[in-house]
Amino acid sequence: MPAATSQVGVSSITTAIPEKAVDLTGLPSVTVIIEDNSFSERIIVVSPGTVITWVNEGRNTHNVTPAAKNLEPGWFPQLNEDLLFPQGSATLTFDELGAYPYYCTFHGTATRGQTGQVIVRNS
Amino acid sequence: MRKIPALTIFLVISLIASSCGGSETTSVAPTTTAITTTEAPTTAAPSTTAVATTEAPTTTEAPTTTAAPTTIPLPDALRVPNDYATIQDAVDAAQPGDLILISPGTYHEAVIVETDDLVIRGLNRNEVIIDGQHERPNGFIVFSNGVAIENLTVHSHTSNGVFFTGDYGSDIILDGYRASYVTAYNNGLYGIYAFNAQNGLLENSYGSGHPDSAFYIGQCQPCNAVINNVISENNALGYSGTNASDNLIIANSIFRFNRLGMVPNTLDSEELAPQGNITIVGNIVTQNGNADTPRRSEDWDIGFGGGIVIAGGSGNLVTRNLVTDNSFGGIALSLFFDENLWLAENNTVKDNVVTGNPTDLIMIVLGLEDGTYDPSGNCFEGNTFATSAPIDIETYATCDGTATNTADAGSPNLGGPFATVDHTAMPAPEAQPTMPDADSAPGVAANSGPPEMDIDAIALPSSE
Repeated sequence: MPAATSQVGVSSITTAIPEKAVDLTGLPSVTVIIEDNSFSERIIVVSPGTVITWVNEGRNTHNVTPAAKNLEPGWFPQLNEDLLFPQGSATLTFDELGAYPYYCTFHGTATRGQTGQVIVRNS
Repeated sequence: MRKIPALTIFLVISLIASSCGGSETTSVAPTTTAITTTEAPTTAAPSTTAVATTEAPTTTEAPTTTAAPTTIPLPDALRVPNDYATIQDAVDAAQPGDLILISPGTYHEAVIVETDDLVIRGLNRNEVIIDGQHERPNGFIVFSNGVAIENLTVHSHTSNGVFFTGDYGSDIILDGYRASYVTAYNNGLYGIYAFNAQNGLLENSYGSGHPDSAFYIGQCQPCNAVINNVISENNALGYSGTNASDNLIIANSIFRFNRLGMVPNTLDSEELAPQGNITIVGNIVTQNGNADTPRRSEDWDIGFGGGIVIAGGSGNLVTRNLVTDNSFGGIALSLFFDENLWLAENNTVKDNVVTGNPTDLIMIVLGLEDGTYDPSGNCFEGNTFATSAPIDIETYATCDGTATNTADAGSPNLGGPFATVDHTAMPAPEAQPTMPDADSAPGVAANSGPPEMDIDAIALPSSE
């Protein structure tokens, strides 16, 4: 279970919460289902330390790739060596407050297609 | 069209149970979440395989004609590599409506297209090569509307050769796409893949060596799309279309030497289930059941050797196709089990020639409590065939309103397991016919929808 190492500070939580975000703060763990070719909840808001598990219930292989460049704000370690095969899963815990946009490199770009975002904020 | 919760069904599903996936997990939230291009399909042109091998893009030599041209064809085109070193550079610089011309060479790129109405054209289909080297995900991923990809070869990408897709998570459906004279081979999933996209045309193209399908149009309703005059061979699936419904026509094409020929299907893992209301007409579907092909997993071998297999789809028309010598069956209508059980209902199989298959016509439907099987609106009429399961299928699954039940389950043995080949080891195809006048034809964006098809004018093909 890799822990996020980004240095996003408290000020990042001033980022506006998108209207379609799903507020899951306060839950110890949550699951994001991956379908073909999307993340079931594109934007989730969680508390620091929440365990997030991505589960691929599609038929395609997917991945969860940070949109931010290495060690820049919003970066986190890529999951499971780039690949989430069908029925595969991977887990990540975000300890730092901030916004963590991500995407699947097979079916999207940092800003288009199969994208998602984790926003970490205090409850 | 009905879906039935899987747990309520007591049925012999073992033949397809391996397709049932999905570990139990807690979701973050409920996740309810008359065409004029009717040329006969052309076989691969004989002679040499033309695949450029240079690392960097290479330009063709200047013509050696004695008379200098008085005008430069298509002077406003963005040229690669003359004007832009890479295809991506040209795409990024282009404005809506621009034509990008690519000179022969091998391009190691994964091109992202986000500008509407571009025409991206190779000057020689067999010599403009987009090589993913089994490292890059997609040769082209197209998010914008009205983009046409023409006259080039794309191979060895880890995911797809050409990928047209809407921005699914934002509820944006791609509007308008076209692939013409495209050769796609040995990509890691699909050759030409249109997902969450409408108003498209795939034509005069070729695909081989894919662990999924060479041609895919799926998750669309209405699809408003046409696949015309393509050749698909040596893939796991010649054509696949999950949850593709309404106004999709697949015509005048060849699907041969694949594990399965054509598979319109319903899956819960994509939106817009179930699949329905497409037309398959005038195709040659032959000699599928080829184990010297790649596949994703054993799940992909359900129905191995089938010619045209409608898995959990409804309201489809399959007519005037030549379906021969497939190793399992010719034309099959079957329920399909995913998270839900999806029935095959109200499909019409009419006026096809279906011969030389172990079982020419197949129908797998739900059994009733009295031990009989209701055709469920599926009907067979006017087909040339020798064998069927259930037997005498046209005498009870009729199209004239006189259908009756039968006691024959009609479930042939699917067989397996079957051998497979890694897609990276598949041979490159032979050179394919190139686009006429590629260096002078004006660019026409794919923003006017697919061509009108006169389905009644499409004849039964004679043979290859």
